[in-house]
Amino acid sequence: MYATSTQKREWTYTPEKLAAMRMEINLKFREKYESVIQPEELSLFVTPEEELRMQRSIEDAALRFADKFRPHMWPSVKWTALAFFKRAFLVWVPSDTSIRMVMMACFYLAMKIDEFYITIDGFVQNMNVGDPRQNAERILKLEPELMKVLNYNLTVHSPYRPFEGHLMDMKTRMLLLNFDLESIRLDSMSFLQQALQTDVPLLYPPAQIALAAINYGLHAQGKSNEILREFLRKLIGIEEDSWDARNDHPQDLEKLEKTVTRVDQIMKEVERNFVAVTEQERENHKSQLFRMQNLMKELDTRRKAAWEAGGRIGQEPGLVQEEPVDSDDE
Amino acid sequence: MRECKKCKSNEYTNKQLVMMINECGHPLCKNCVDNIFALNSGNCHVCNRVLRKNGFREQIYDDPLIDKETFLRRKLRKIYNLKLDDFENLKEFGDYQERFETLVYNLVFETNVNETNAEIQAFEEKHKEKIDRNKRRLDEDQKWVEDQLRDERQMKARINEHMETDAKEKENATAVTDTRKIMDELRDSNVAAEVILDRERKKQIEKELEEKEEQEKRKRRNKEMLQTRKRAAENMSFNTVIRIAGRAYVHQPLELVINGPPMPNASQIESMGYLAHIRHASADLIAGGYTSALGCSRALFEARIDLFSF
Repeated sequence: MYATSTQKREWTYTPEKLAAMRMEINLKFREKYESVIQPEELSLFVTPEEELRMQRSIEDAALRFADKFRPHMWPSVKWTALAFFKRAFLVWVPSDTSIRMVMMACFYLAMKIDEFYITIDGFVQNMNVGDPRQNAERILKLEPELMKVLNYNLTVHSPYRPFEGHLMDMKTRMLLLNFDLESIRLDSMSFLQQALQTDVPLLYPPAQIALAAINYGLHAQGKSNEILREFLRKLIGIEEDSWDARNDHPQDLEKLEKTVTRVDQIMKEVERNFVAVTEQERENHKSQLFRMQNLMKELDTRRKAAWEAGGRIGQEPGLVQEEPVDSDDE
Repeated sequence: MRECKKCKSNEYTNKQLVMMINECGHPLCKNCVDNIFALNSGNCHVCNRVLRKNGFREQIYDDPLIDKETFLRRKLRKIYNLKLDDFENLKEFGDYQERFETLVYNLVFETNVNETNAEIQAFEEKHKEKIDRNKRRLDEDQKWVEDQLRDERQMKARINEHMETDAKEKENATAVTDTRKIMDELRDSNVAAEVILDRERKKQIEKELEEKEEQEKRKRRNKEMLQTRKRAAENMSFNTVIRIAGRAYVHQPLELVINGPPMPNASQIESMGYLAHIRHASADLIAGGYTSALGCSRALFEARIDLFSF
């Protein structure tokens, strides 16, 4: 149930909060290396917006990976995996991690969570880069780290089942429509696919996203918002636009209006923020990530040298601090 | 848990269980002793030794072996009561004590019983004088304990005395003011002296009576308290006590906050024709407990939950 889920409590934000969080982790990361960085390397330390773009290009690649995956996965796996990915990069910085591997680990974990069972061997067979054994090793190593970063909040509510629910409701209640409702499915699914490459999963309840997908599909069929309004009226139980209803249940009408506004808002959000990743952009990101990863190694050795020269005060940089683990076995 | 090996009654089934033990060290409950040894002598139910009824004593320690040992030790102490100054040096005294421990061990574990008893008898005859003389003598430790007890008793007596004198003084003080008041009244007022004295006497008697009553009441209360405590101890039960307290539980059905349009109920899902729009459940799914109405209501529920969360 979404209303009591960790998704609502911990992982749903306002757009402003989201931007602030991204800014913060970006600044923190920059601060960490400020003392050893050289001016010409500064260009590799990108802004939060560029980082987000980098995430998008990975997401784009991941969605293509998911569609090519055999056996064919059900869509909620995609949604879960990308939700994990988006959440993880509210804590991690893309430059600091092997972002591509994190995405693969997200998919592997999401398959377990969504009961799309596949072995790690079966999983790495679908990857077309790197040595399968090495890939498997890295994914399995990343998996517990990923879960830790997600604070073990692993249940993700995707809009696919609510979408089916809305569609069923429409088919049952809207008997006077003069077209086949199934025709909107294709467009709605592409809308959800686009929504996956935006912040929408971090901003709205899945039931609302699903309704936005329905409305998008209706618009694609050349229909207006009036069908959505009619549908909501029937759902809430408002009589045909009568003045009595307006006076008797003003809060019902308010809900209707608010829902319509919210649906429009989600559709606009997707329309504005979904920008297909171009081939050029992908290449740029690839090379940038490659250079960044090389630089990171260099910076870490520099930081360590500075620490040694400074008389080894404080904690050794780059050292992972082991936290005591509570175990039932002890 | 203490339990009679013969009749299997134990502390829980019989609250007044008393375990008895004889020289062979095999415990029996009091009821069994009364039954088996009705003719004053009989055989032990474990080792078949001939025992006498008056040889039975109450078992004090849970472990019969320890009980047996303390009993024998106490018995033997009456004969082996020589003190340090009966020996020429410390080593001889040590040897004597060691020998005593060996004898106790032999008796407890019943090894070489005949030889041991013979040795004890020989020892008794040999040291008859010393033993008799020592019966009245105390050794250092006993003396110390006696001293301590005496000191304590004296201390208590002193404190009591002190308190009593204190109380008396107080009483005297009030009595003095009273008499002074009466004297003043006798001198100043013009009421007849007999009337005043009568009144005062009456007051005094009333006061005494009151005090007496108070004391009796206190006594009665103490007695009652003791009795209730005793009764509680006897009736102590390990059963769960059913307490009837507080208001009765009233079940209130949980409210599910959907924050969305109302859910159709199970019969509505069927009657409104929702089931026409969902895949029909196959036979093996139905066998597993799934119905298409279930899947339908799940999708409908997820479509509604938090739809109006803005």
